[in-house]
Amino acid sequence: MPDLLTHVLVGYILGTLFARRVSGKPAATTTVVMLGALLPDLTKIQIVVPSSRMEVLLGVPFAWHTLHTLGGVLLTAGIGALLVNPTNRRRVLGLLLAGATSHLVLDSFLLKPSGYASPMWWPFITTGLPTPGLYVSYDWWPTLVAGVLALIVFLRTSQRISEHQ
Amino acid sequence: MFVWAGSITPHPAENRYPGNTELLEDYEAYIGDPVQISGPVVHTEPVIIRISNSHESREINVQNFHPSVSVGERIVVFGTVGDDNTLDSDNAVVREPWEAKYMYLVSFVGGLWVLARLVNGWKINTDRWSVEPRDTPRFSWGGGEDA
Repeated sequence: MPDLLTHVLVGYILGTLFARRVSGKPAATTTVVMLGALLPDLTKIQIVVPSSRMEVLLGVPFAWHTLHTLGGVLLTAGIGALLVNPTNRRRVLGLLLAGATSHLVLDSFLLKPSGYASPMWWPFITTGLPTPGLYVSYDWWPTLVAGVLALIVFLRTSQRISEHQ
Repeated sequence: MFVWAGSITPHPAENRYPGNTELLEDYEAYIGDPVQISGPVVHTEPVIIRISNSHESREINVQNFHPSVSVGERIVVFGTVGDDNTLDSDNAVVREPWEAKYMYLVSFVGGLWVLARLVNGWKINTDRWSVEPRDTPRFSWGGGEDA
């Protein structure tokens, strides 16, 4: 993954652009997309409880890495949508999935020595797709680019609000 | 779903390469196969990295590895497993220790930002036990309720 801040900044940009086109509370809408952009990295739970420990506990093969796949984010976004009141449920599901998908798309451009990304579109695509290798996870420039774009979006939105007031 | 995904094994023909876990579990089974492993450099001439999981570790001699590295740096390397804890390197990415710290620091900032926005704009309705947007955020800044 690029760092979480980059994912969250991209979530902010997408969320702000979505919020202009849907009714409801714009800031709350943006926040849901930003939260969605974090969902695939719930896979980091494996740092605390490794998959191997889960396999010993459950007695079956187990992979936390599922959380970093399209199938995994459908599950986590679905759980997230169930936590909100029914009137907001479908919208929140869509916004969480938008954020989570942006995360997976950004991660598909990561440089991998093998030349192939992990199969993050599982279970729909089980092979690792070729990656263009645009950046590594600790490069600072994707954060800078996302930060500048997010600042532009923020300033344009603020300007738009003040013109309407 | 986690169990289903766990049953999918690495398969080089489908670009799913074995990694640290598989090599630690059964090294002999992967001799001659392509793998992608990662770990800290523990020796530089020859380059040796330590791959580990929560309960075991193994030192791998990375051969045909040309970038200059120092002890403590982490490398992710793709290559072919050889006899006697060796790996014939095809390609690698080197990561300095500070880069991991930078990534964790900015990631923490990103997580904190989302948490602050959630607390600011959403609330738990204890009557219905559901999460709802606040009518008015606790705090508004430059973009007002739109940002």
